Amino acid sequence: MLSETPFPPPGFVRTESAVPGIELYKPAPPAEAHQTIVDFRCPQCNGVTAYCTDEGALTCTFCGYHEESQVARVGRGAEEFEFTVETVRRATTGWGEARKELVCNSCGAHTTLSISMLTHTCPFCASNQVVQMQAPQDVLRPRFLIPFTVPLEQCREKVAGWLESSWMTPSGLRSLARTADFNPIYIPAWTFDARSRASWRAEVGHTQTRQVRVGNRTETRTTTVWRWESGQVDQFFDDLLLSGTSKLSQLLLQQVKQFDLNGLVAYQASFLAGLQAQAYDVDLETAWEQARHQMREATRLACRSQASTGKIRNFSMSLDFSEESWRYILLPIYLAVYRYQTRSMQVMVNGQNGQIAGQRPVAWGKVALGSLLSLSPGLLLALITLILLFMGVEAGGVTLLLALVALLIGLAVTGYFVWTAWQLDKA
Amino acid sequence: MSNWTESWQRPLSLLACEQCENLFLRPAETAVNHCPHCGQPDLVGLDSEQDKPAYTQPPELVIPFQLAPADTAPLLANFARSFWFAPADLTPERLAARLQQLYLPLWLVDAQVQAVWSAEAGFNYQVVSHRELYSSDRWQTEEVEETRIRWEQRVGRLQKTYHNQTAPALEEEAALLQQLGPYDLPAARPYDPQLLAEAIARLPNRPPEDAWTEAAAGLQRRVMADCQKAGQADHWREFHWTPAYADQHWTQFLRPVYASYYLDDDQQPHPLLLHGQTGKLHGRRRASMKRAKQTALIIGGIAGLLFVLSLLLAVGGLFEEMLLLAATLLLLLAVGTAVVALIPPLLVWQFNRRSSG
Repeated sequence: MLSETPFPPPGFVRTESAVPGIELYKPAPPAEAHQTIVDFRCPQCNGVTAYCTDEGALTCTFCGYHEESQVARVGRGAEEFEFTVETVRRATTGWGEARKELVCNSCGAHTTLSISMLTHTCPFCASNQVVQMQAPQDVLRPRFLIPFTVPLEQCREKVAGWLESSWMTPSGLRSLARTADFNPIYIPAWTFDARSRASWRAEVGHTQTRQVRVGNRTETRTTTVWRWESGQVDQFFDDLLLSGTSKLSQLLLQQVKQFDLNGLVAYQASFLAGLQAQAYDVDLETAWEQARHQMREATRLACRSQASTGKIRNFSMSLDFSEESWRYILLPIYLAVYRYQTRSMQVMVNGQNGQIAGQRPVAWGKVALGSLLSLSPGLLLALITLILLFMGVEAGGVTLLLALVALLIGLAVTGYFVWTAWQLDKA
Repeated sequence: MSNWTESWQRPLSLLACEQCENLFLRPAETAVNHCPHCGQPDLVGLDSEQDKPAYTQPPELVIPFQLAPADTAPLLANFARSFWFAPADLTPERLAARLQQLYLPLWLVDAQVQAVWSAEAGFNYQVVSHRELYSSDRWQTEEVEETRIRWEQRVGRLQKTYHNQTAPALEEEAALLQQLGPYDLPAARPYDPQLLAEAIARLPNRPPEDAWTEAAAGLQRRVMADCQKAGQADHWREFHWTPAYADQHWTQFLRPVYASYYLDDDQQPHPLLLHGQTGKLHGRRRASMKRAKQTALIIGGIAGLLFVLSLLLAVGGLFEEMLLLAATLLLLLAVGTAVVALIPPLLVWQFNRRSSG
């Protein structure tokens, strides 16, 4: 008696069978109809809709229509991919074409778009479009992203506060933050997992002291005895984050990349509507090489830390990577540029937690004044000492000593001020 | 020729062994005196219609003898190679003279199989991994490719007729397989009555209903292999199915063996079988306790003679002291010889015990 359950089971589709007389079914692939351009229009007034970072939803700029995005939070459990030969080969070929001709679905205007841009706003009719270019392999298109959770206004406030948080910056910067143009942008990033298993061997030096008699004296002599040691290290690296773009300052990115990957959600074009988004231009192989470099150095340090002392020579190790996997994700960043006098200053804000990195102008006059104030007690004491010495008062020696101490402290504080200001300026 | 023997396409007589109750078909021109299974001379002719056997399915495939009778000589000589106290009847010449070509049956079943099934199909794929070596403050990177398996669910439906699935037709099939080893089944060819010209065929003693369990298991293995092939998978696991069988058709598959025997002290036959393809031989070698006892008796007699002689010398020793010494030596020799007389029966007992084990 054959089974009475329906056949084929739900969710299975027929596939080619290599043997006559046998029907074969496999799970149906996820129904993801690829839509190259997704145009966002209001269902009420046909106006332009865009993702609003303040509301976390698609909103119509004309009639106020509001559409919550369906957030499928996946967090760190987001699907990861292996380094199959096929993927690695295709990932290195990039997106295959340099620029894409885009025809606006609303007004029919032709625009040439950089291949690195995932979104586009038509310059003629201002309609928002998300470009979902056919990736060289399905896994190489963005599958997950962290949505903006810091609203634009809050971001502006944070930056204003940050600009004024140092007394070394010029007054009135807060107002510049209010007028600066903050651009929410999704930047590409790679995450990598891997297990590193390493075996190491090295000569480790142990210090020994012994008493030696030289003539009538006893001397203590220290010698280093070298012994071979070996060990094993097994480390798992989970979600090592590397930037997928070379177009932004890596220095600033480094300072704001403390993203919580538990906030990862499944990619939806609506998250990108009206915002800027970049495709990766640091390919998988390059990013993986950088990640491996970081992993192997961390493993090397872990191996060295196992040695019984810090004196090590002839260190060698072999390391095997396994369980390697990767993800291609988009991260939310606010970018702002403000002008101070003739200079353009960049600020970058983490769109998930509000972490800020950027450039601030230095008010060198304030720094000079601060330095002068810190040196002034020393100078004052020196002056008093001189007067006392001229007057022949014996206490001049004590005040001279105090003046020297105060001057030294003042110089140290001045040095700190100048160094901090220089750092600010360099950023 | 009866109705059922007609399917064998040559005149055949039905024989039964009164000892082991096995049934055989003998060509008219072949003389058979001893049962090829147990070696007993208790074969009786039966009427093929009145004493019609329970399982009379015709043969469909035969594996011809690949080992010529002449090629069996060294194998038989090796079996009968001299060992202490071998039975007088165990000689290569006698074994060869009694050699009988015999075909052993297997069931062959054709069946139509209908089934729905599910399984996990495994597909090999290559991944790129890395191995790093650090020495002299430098890293060396080696790229390695590893093969991994991606498992995917598959379900299917099957309607297919499977031919010639084998199943044991003899109760002692498992023991035979262990004793003689497997047959190269692809060497089989369609049944040809000429192949039975000098051979006898044993008839099945296991009903098809009993053999169906093994046949169904074999069919499942074939279905599984076919489903894996259909899915073009490199690996296959977690196979589950719900089969239905129809149109079963049973025939026989004949496999070649040579049968012979030798007689022990009590004139009891001990059979031996020789694989008709590989030449692997199975039979128990038993040493002759009778010959061992005869030898022991002779040695014991010598010991007794030495004992009597030592007694006579001891009497002479009453007169001549030197004779006492000789008597003592002879007594010791007699005791030693008597002990040696025990060795042949012990050797045979141990040999037979080992060969039985």
